[in-house]
Amino acid sequence: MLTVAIFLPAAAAVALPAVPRRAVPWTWIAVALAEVALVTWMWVSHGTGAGTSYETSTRWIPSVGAGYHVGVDGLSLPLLALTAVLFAACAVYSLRQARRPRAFAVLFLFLETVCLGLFAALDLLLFFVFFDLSIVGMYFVILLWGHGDRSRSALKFFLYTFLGSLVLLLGFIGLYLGADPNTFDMVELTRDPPLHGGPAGLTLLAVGIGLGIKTPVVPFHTWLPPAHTDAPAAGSAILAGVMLKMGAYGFVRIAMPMLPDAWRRYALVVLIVGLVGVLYGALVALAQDDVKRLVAYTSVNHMGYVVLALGAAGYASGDAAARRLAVTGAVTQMVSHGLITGALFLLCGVLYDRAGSYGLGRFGGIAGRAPAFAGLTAVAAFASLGLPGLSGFIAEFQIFAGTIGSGTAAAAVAGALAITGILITAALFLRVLHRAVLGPPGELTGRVTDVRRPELAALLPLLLLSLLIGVAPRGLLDTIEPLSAAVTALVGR
Amino acid sequence: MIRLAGPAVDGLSAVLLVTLAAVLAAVLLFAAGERYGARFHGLMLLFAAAMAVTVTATDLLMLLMGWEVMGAMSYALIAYVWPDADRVRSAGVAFLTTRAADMGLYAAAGFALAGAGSLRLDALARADGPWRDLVAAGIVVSALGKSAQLPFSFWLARAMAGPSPVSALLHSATMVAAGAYLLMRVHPLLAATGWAEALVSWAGAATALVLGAVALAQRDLKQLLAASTCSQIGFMVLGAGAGSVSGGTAQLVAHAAVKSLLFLCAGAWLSALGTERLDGLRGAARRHRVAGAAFGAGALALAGVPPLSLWVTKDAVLAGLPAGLLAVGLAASVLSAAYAAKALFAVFRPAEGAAVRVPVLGQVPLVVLAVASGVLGVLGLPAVAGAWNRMLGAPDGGGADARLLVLSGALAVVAVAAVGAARRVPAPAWAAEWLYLERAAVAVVVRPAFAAARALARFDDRIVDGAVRGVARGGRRAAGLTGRRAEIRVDGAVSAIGRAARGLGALARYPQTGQVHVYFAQAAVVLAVLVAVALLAG
Amino acid sequence: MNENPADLAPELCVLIAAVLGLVGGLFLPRERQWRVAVVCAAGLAAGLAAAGAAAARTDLAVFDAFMVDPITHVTRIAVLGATLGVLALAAGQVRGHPRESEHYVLILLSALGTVVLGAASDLLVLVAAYLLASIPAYALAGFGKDAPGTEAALKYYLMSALLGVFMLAGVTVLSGVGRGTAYPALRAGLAGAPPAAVAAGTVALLAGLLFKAGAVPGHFWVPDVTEGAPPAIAAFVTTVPKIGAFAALYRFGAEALPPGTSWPALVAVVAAATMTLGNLAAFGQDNVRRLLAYSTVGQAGFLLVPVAMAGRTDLAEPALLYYVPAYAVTNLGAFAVVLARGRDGLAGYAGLMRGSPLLGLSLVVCLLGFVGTPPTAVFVGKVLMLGAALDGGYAWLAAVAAVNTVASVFYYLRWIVPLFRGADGRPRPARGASAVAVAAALFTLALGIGSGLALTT
Repeated sequence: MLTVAIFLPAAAAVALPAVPRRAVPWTWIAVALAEVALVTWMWVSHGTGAGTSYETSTRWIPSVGAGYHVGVDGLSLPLLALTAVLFAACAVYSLRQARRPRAFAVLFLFLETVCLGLFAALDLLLFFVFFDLSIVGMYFVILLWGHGDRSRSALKFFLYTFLGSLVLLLGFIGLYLGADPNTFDMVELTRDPPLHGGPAGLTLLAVGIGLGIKTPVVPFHTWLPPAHTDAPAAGSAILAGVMLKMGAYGFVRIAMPMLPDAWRRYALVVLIVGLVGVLYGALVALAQDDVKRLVAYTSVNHMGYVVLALGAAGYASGDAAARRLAVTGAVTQMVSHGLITGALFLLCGVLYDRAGSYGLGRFGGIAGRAPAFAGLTAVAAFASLGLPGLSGFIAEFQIFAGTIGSGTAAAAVAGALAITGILITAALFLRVLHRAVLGPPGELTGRVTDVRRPELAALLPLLLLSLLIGVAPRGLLDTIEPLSAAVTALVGR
Repeated sequence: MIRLAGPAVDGLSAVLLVTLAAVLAAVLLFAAGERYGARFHGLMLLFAAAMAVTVTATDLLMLLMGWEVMGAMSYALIAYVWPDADRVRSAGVAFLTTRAADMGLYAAAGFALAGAGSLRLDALARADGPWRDLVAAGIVVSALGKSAQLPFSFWLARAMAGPSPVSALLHSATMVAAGAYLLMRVHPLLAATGWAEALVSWAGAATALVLGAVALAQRDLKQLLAASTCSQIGFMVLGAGAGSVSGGTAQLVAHAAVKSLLFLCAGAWLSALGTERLDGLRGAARRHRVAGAAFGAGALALAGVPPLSLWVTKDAVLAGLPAGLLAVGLAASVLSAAYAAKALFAVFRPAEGAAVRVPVLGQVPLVVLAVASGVLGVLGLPAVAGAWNRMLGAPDGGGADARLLVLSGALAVVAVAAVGAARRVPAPAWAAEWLYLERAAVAVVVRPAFAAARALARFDDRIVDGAVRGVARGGRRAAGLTGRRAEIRVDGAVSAIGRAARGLGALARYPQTGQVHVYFAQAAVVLAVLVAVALLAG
Repeated sequence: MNENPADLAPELCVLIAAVLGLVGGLFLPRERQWRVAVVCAAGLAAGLAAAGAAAARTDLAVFDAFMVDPITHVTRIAVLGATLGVLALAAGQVRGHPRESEHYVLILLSALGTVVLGAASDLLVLVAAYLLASIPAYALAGFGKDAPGTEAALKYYLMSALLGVFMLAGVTVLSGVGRGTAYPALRAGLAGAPPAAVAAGTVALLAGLLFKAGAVPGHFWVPDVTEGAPPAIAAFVTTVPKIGAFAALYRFGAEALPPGTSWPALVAVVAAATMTLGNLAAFGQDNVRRLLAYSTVGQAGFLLVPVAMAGRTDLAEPALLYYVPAYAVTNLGAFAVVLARGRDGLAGYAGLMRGSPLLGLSLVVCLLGFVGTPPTAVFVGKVLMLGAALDGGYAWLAAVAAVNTVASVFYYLRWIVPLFRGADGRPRPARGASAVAVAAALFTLALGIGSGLALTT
């Protein structure tokens, strides 16, 4: 079942060249919606229990202890659901894709398989395979459908994240070599963490840099703004919404449970890196005049919260309940950020589609020409700045409360300082609203027409889900909490 | 894990809920006459829901949710006329200032979790050690921010860019009072810290006094009312700090009625006369009997003239205060009377002009609120005070002190008379400009923040990304170097070979073309190095 | 000792095919010489089958100077398979050439020499195999008799001569101080020999093998030959002899040298230098054959990593045995695309993706395969290679390899990007070469995904 869910898009991608041209977008949408249904079904049948469901394990390269081992649990299900939803939104959004629609659909279906596979992988090598393929897939998306200085941005993206992936691979091999018997299997590595002392620190450094580049953490984030700016809207949405989560997911899935004592030892470093990401990302975003770059930098800020919370979870002396809360908040933030930033990037795409520019100063008063667009932008912006009732608040509140509440001085100080982030994000989103959406009309405002039906159909579900999580988060939190309890316990070993 | 503690209604919450509902009904009734759109009503109702959540919340999470949504709705309503860049900017200032203060509440939630292991409001006072102080500090900061107390007061001036019904509901009667409500709600925590009570009392008293002076200096009716709101809420905050929950609450309720009434009148004149400036409103009260009478009643109540409501409730707060606070409080009362009188005389001064038309729907709430402004003082009367205290769970025996009542009533009357006689009220620039608070905030916080942001953006571009680009450049340069070295492939040599390739003679000469022997030399050198490596490593 | 001539069946098949081809070529008219290709292909296929059958058996056959062990099995299969591919490529190129049959036979002989090179466990056999593998290759490089081909052949020859002499000297020194030429005897003998002599001898011996492997310092011929020789031959010399060379290097390091020598450090330095040089030099190339040439140099650097770790970790042998065939298939695929397209300039590949999507995809798969993108074969090889380096205690080498891999992405992408540009106005690609390219691409994917199967046998 899980395997079917993972490889259905890839199979559809292989079959797509045989589909008549006019049916291509609808086939894509059908497959994407089927994925949403499959993942939802898996979530419902998994329920909110602890443990792993739909586990499948087959030998792949037995001589190096790598297997095709997949399964879903409270950490992967929300992210799988996010992946399915975002890809479905992108499929709907791209209904009018004019340039090479077939290849576009093939690539996105391939990417969907890759992303789903990554979040379901329970084997380091398998994880890495999907991790690497996501880079290749996104490279082609930016290269072929991007705009602006796309080949340069795509190249930078590829080289930078590929470097990260190789460093990550070195870390994985370190884990593999440390285990006895040698294995890449995550379950076994989690059960019996292989490394201690110096080698564990080095391995954590490798894994941390590898995942950190993808997350991205400051100062490894500079691939992100150009990649986002020049990527097509759907590509940006996937890149920010799903692929950035791979790094953060890796921290929770791999780094924390498999290198617990190194994580505890360097919790302060993680904490500081997270805090710097929060403040630095927010401040740099504040100074941007290109909307897409701005949203890209807010991703740095939002992912900084995740890292901060995970760092706080590494303080074994802290209050266990608060640390669980921090981890739950971090996972919630991944989902929430995926939905909100996905929506924001799609909105940027609408803007670019109409006016061919992301320049903040060239718009103004869009609300007059495009009220629905303005409304959606306002909701997405307020969601992103953490307005209660939308998902961002639920995530960030838990992160702050958990981080500060863990009760150690360092975590409390870092958490308190990180709260400044929500003020800066508020300032920068208001700046966007004031300069582009409200106020008197600007130079390019005349070109902006309101959202079309496919765009609306792609955007609404994302924001409605954000609202749902914001108002009734229990369903999501109940799924995550057993997992965060497990991770906190594993780190505390 | 965090479970939301459900909402609960106790005496304090009930009073606030009723106040909220009443003012909301009055304001919406008034607004119905002014034809606002669906967006307006949706936002107003959302605000009311958020406010209801805030006052019924039993833990910090629920409270914060309502609290922040109120702020956002305030933003959306101030910027209701969005094409006007100034109004939008004002909305931004208001939202950001309150959100800056709200950070205290976020932090307080974390500290509460650390100190008490719970977010419940009634558990906060039991938090241990330094956490309790931190929680109290966070809550106090965000309450002062929301209630536009010093040093956050300036945002309320900006909030006046919103439509008058919005000012009447959010920025006078309900939302701004939420900070005072919160402080009353967590009074046990303030008491437990040992320092927070005094801090809050003095903050309230100082705001009451200083913003009273600010109000006196205003030339714009809404600005005057805004400053007076800060000042009047200062009395509530003072009550919360001094432990006079029943007095503070009574002040809150009475003030809600008075101030929403005054704002609605201002709104009615604004839509009829197109101005809010006091000199522009000259004689406005005489042009419409109902509105004029209502405003008159409200302004006199605001002045603390007996027997109207604020006279009693304010004294209920002031009763039993230590001498210093009492003196400041009385001085603030005098200022209240002065600025209320200033507004009163401004609109009642005879002037020429056509009659003003106020829709019937708009007149009903004015009358109701005017009556309420008159009679809500009963809350401070000994007969009612007992029941009032019991409902709020406050200790009996509060209520106004008779001597104080006489004193403050007399002071109010004298002050009103003095303003009437003087006809000109001093308006120093510092007061007219709201103590330059906004300018200070811009200079101390906003500009440095933007400067830091721009500097960091440049740093990010040039240094962080520059380092990455530098590595890439270095790689390419190294590649250029190796490319040249590995390819000592002289064009001349190639063409020479091409010409001579047919004969063996050319082949024989070939090694002398200067390339293969270079290869040989290089190979030999590398091999020698390798021997050295082998020897060293062995 | 279990000396059963049947264990040499693969080699015998190739030899017989070569002889038959030579003889047949004498009697066949020019237009029917393609039959020689068929004979040679049949010989290779038979050899491949025999090698496969031999690999499936578990007992090891040991001749005095010729090991039949997993390394040999893999060498045989890789060499014969790759040669078969080259034959398919070459057949389209030399059809109707006056010396068509000689061409095939030379390829076969060189391949035979390569197999022996990989299987030799005696210094003297090693030298003989070196010569057998090299000499036909010189002739092949100059087969076109044009200026670049002649230049290439000459350079190839001259480099080979110099480094071959070094190798002979090394053999002399090693056999002198080690009192023997067979690897087991050397292992015992060298343990007590003066380290300086062992080091000098080893380096000298390395010179020859590194030449065959196309690694520093014997890499100078690679770009010139790849560019100058006929493309099919370029594919051959950058693929097949390397297989044998790496097997021989590994075998020497693991079996002939006593533990505790400077071998790992020595080869690690060579590996680091080779991969860095190859990758950096490939950056600026606009000629795809030169680019591929430097890429093979870079790949040789990666392949040297498990060689360096020979005997230090259990991962070294699987790493080498996996990486070598993976590299061979990928390289062959890339060259097949070059042949099919018939263009040397990067600009000549514009629009390939639209014009012939299958060929374009094959190229993308092969180039990304070189990078080590999963799930291609080289990815598994690279994982094992990095694992071997880390397990062998050479973390710095793993880091260098990782950085080099990233650097290599740059020039592979330089080739990939034009594929998607513009419309295709060029003639249809050669069908035979396209088929080889597609097959190779599919095979790298299959080898990657089915690596478990391949690694266990």
